Amino acid sequence: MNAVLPILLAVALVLLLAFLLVRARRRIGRLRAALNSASLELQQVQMAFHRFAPRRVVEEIIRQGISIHGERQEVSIMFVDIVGFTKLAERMEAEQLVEVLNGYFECMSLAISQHRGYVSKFIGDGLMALFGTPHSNRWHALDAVWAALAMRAALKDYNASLESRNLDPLEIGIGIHCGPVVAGVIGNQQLMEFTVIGDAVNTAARIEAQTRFHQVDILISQAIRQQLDEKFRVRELPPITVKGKREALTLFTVESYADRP
Amino acid sequence: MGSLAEIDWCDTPLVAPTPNTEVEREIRNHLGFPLNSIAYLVPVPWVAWTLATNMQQVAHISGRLTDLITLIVSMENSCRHCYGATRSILRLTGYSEKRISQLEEDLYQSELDERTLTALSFARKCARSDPRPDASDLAGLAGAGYSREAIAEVAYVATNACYSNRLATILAIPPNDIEQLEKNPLSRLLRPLVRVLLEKFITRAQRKNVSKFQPRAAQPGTPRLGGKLIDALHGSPTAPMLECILEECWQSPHLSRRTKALTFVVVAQALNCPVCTTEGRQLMELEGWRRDDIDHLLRYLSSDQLTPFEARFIHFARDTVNYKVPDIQYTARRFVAGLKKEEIIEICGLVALANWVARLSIILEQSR
Repeated sequence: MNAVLPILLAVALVLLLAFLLVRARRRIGRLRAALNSASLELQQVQMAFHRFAPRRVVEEIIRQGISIHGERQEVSIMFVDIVGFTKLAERMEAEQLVEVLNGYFECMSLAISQHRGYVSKFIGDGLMALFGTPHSNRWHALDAVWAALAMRAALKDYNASLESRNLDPLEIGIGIHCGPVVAGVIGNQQLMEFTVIGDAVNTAARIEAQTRFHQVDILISQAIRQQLDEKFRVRELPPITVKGKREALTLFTVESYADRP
Repeated sequence: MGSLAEIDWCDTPLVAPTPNTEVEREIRNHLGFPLNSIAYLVPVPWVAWTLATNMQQVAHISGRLTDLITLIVSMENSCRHCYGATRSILRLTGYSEKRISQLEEDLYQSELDERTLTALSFARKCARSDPRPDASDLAGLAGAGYSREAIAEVAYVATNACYSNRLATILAIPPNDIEQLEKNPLSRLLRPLVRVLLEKFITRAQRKNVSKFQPRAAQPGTPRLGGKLIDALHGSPTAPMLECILEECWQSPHLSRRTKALTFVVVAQALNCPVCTTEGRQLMELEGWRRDDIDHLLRYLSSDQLTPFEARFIHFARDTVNYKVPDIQYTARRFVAGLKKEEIIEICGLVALANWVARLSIILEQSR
């Protein structure tokens, strides 16, 4: 009896140790799986964020938090809006309106990205696109105007498809200006976006609003005009004073381009 | 940038492979083993040889660092072909899955030493070139203990990876066979043996590279493509390699020299490289361009001197500077429709080489 007890105790101890070891291994396995899953999720979030901001900006945010500084850059800014959208919205069913708008945004976004532009935000029925950021591009003004011409052509095709469904065609106004801006991630913990701020942005928005007054679809500023060659057929419009600007702006409408880029 | 499985890669290569050619046999003999990617490139020998001999014969940095640089740059460029191949080489030569994953997840959280991290961070900046690295980055490398020659080699390896990545990505070359070898259970079992064999093959190929790429006598006063770069790499075995590659590209008959000079200038401008722009402009002048026409072209990306093909090509060349993989593969398909296989391969090689040279020119900042 005296000899059996220590053996039993030893066996029990071994069994207990084995049980603890198995439990610890299972726990480590679960923790590792959770860690891998979290890491994968983080990678996916990082990848998704790369689409909205430059990689180096995303990496700085991950390393230092969101309080990062913006960068001063020279960019071209494009504002696009649908002319007479309110009336159009009144004539259409909500579902149909959403479908028409989605198709329109898809055409416009494609024309913009094919000319190295970046759709920064959708504002109701309009959008703001940037050329020259997130990736630097010395020919940003040229690309912006080529994109505008491509958007005009894309809208013509899209309108043909709308008319075949007995829907009213869309008309747009595009305003383009270039100048120095501060580009960076702006917002708070809840809502952040990579965007640009500066006087050039406001001017581009004002130029777009003038398309209705001049009844043209593409308007560019003098600063953009200076970066175009003679292959662009442009027409100068009478100077106009816009809100927030003391001096009158000379604007140009772009009619065509001699070669297709 | 994402993990290997997340890379969106076109399943159909841009050109069909051309198997069993004399060039392919020569390359196989040179390397000691076959490379599946070569069959997609052999119609233009200089492009095939440049990819086949990218196991750099470096003298001032370690082979391990060159592998890590290639991994980081290929991951940065999301090149399914090169990233997968480099990953497999690292696994076969002794790197654990855990260490590679750490590198992939966050370079700065990995267990690498500060000196290696500085080099990898610089390599990544070379790959992005947005903005391109500057003198402060070079000073950072010097501060970490890299010699002038070692810095040039770090840049060379990083930008050479940019070449391979662009070539494989635009052509959508399928994953390298070495990935299958690494996944094969038998080769996993015999990993130490595979490692010895692989290292032996690589060393042998590197030795052969030295005899294949002999320094050439430059003709004084004649503009040379990448002339300043080759001078800056003097003392490194990479100098004759780059010189030979540039010369063979220049002599290759599938695209005109005029188109080649134009490509180098446009890519150099897009990457803000003044030295390459100047060299390219000199070559354009030799091909009959007037200075005013070059100025107009570089300012407005248009010129009456451009052929319809060149007018389209300059925009494609620009697209290869910064891209997303599916976009550039789609753009390439639209652009090359109707062109001959040799022209397509040379176009891809040319834009990749122009990107390589313009990015590598950062080492000239050391000479100033």
